[in-house]
Amino acid sequence: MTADERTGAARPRNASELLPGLRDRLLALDEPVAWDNWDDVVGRAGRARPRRRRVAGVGGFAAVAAALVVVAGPAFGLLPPIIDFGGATHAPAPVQQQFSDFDRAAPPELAPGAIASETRLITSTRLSDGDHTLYVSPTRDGGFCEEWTGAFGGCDQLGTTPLGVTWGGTAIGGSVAAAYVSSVKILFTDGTSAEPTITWLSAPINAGFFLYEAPSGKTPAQVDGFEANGKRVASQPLLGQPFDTFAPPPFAVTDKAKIAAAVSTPDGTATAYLAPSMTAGTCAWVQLDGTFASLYGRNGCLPHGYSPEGLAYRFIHIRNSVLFVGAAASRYARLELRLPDGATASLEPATGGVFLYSLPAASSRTLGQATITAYGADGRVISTNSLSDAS
Amino acid sequence: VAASRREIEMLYRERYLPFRRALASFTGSYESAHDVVQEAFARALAQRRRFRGDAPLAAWVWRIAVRVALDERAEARRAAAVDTSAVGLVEPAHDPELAEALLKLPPRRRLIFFLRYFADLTYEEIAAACGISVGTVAAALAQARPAVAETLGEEVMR
Repeated sequence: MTADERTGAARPRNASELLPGLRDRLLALDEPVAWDNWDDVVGRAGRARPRRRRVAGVGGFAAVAAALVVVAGPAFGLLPPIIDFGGATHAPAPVQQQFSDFDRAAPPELAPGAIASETRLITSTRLSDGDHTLYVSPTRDGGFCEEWTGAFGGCDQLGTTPLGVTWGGTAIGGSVAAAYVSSVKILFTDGTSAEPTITWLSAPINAGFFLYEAPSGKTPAQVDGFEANGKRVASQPLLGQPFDTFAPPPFAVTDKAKIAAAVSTPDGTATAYLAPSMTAGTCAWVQLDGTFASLYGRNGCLPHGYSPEGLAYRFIHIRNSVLFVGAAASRYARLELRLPDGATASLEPATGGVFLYSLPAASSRTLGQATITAYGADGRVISTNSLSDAS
Repeated sequence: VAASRREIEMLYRERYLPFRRALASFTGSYESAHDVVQEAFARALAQRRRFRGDAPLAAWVWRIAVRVALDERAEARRAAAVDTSAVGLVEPAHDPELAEALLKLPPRRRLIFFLRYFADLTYEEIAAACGISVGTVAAALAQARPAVAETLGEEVMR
């Protein structure tokens, strides 16, 4: 990077809101050309604050494997051996520091609570770009954080997510909760599939971890998780769409679904359902006239113990109906939807935080001007969102 | 609802410059701001499975960037307390009058002004990043815009 090269002028998009004189002065400020370098970001992501805290050298795979104590796992039936987490080597101090940074780097409400001092060195896997070492720590809430050096990392604060996947390029990493998933299959766009080797850890982790590199010429499309009996209980598409909008969430136990809310629309009754998932979580969706929409994220279900965070909402257009639907955290006691014509609707989230409201058809033309205000149980405003600002 | 690598990369490619521009206003140089942006996106990339989608991704990364910047400042100055609102033009000599006009804004309002017009964040992103309501953001900007313009001698219709 060189400080001498200049763009000529900064170009902040929002400057058009300013009065002309102020806008012109802002736009006249020049700045250095962009030094953006995504490869550098990726490289840093695989290291723990590289310039200050270099991760201590890690022995080869044989040395790592020798440090592990492998135990039989009755809870896992006939699954492959399980590594005794408590018997695994403690991670070096710089790695422990990195795990403690998980809490510091994230917004407070998203801090996973990793017990960094209990971080252990688990195993290593070699991909085409070199060796990647797996470190894992428990969290205070019974889950875990994991890090494949130079590749992926993440946390499942409660340890109940049946299948968590991250990917980049041809590499795919992830974790599975042992209570729900016994094997993983990676599907490629050409219709073939592969089963990555899973490294299983004992309590308090009770989960398996994998890092896999797709063969040259193969493009990963989806990762599925299966119970020991072969039943598919979790899935994450890497390329495509959320669940089929012509059916409920694929892992919902639909015969145990209960109605959470219902409203009349020009096309009949729209109904919000809650149902357990196949992996002890909760699914929520809305149904109207054969069309389904998720109320809980992309796949329609939350893992066991997790509940909606924040306020998520959207407008759904189905035939002649416009639905305002979503899910809110428990701290949201009431929502107020204000339309540009002055009409307002007050909604109280139902069980599971879900809400559902049918809008007058005429209002769909001006939804871009609607305002949503969320109130807490004490009546105080928690947030106000103007849809025109959220674009 | 973890953020995908692709989403973070797209955000990086779209927001690198405005993030660096705004961060430079309180790291003091574009070089150090560049380093903060790189480190912040690296942390976001490494921890993307912890993003739960209840706030805009840009706001989440921005808060990580602020944390990185605070760490850098604290280490550089060995100062425990750092005021995140202490932002100003990174190169005030380029327009001393504008720099002074911005400094006349109350710190919190000035920070919101920088997030809007230097970091190019939306109202919702600023609200999520600062832990305030969108209405508060709107009100702060509604007051800041004419205040800066008036200080610069621009006629403001009220």
